[in-house]
Amino acid sequence: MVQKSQSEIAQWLVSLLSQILEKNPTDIEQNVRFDRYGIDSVAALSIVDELGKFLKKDLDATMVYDYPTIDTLSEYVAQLLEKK
Amino acid sequence: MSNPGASLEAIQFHYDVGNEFYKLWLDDTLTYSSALWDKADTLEQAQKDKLDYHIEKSGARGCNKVLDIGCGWGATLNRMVSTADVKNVVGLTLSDEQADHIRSQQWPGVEVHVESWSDHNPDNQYDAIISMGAFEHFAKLGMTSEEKIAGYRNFFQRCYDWLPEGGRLSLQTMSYENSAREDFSPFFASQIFPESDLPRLSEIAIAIDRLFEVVTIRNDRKHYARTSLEWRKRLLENKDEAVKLVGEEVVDRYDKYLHLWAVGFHVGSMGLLRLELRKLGKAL
Repeated sequence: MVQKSQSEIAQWLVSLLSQILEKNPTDIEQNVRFDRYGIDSVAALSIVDELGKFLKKDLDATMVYDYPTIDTLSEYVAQLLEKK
Repeated sequence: MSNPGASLEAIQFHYDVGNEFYKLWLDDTLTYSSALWDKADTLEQAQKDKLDYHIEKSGARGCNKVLDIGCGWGATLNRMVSTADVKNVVGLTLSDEQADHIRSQQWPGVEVHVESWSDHNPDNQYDAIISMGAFEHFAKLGMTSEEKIAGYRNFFQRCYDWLPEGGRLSLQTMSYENSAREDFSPFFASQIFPESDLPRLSEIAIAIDRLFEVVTIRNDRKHYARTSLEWRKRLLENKDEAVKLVGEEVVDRYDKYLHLWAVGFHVGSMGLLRLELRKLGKAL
């Protein structure tokens, strides 16, 4: 497991989404829901899979639905890392 | 009457990957359907609670003869004869590997047939019927809703004929909720459950009309999300061994399926219905 702050995780997620969606990182809003970007369940799995590799920790894709924006997801994951 | 659902080959595609593989990530009784997480903290206990729930809801406890349709690796059969004072149990499965496993256990009072419910012709009635995680395979992809309902009604008619008046069928099945088949990724249909289609609650309601009344109903979709995540966690913990048994491609397929499964139940694309159905008497 790799320790990362919320802002580091958020920036990483912005970069990942910009690659997945083929958009400029400045076009990715951190408080916009993933589904507004057309993220479906298969894409949610990819996001969590990549995030898990980045943090060296296995994560459940259901968290994308409980924390459906970059802001809320990064906050939750950062707390998860602190707890361990 | 021919089996209206998924073919023998389609069922074996999913379930005959190898018992040793499933042992790596299911609980110790190899129960392969959603657990019941009302009180349990572990998968083992949650699966036992699920079996006991269906034993109670079907009224099987203390009975002479009970049928389990889609008996898997026999956890319910064994639980009924060993803890619920059931004298004789009959299990139906379409998987040779599951049937061989059950026979090798030599559980007293347990009989298993590699047979579809549509081919089953018992000499006598059963006191109670349980079916978990099988109904999902009773309709084929591409059927219209009317065709699905007709197939389901054939199933319920069979159960009706096999039960005494007031006898109960405890049924557990996944269902479509805020989704339809076409919403799902082709991955599910082609790689996980070829040919199978899920019911909607409304289709079940029409199919049981004048045969069974609904006594209790629960939608425990969050229980299936938790069960799927627990299975996936165990699969990943045993990944090296799993790859040795079935290869990396199959392990990755199951990893992806269990993860998508969890999401589907978590967000309500799919439901997990537990239905206690009681055979109706003749109308006045």
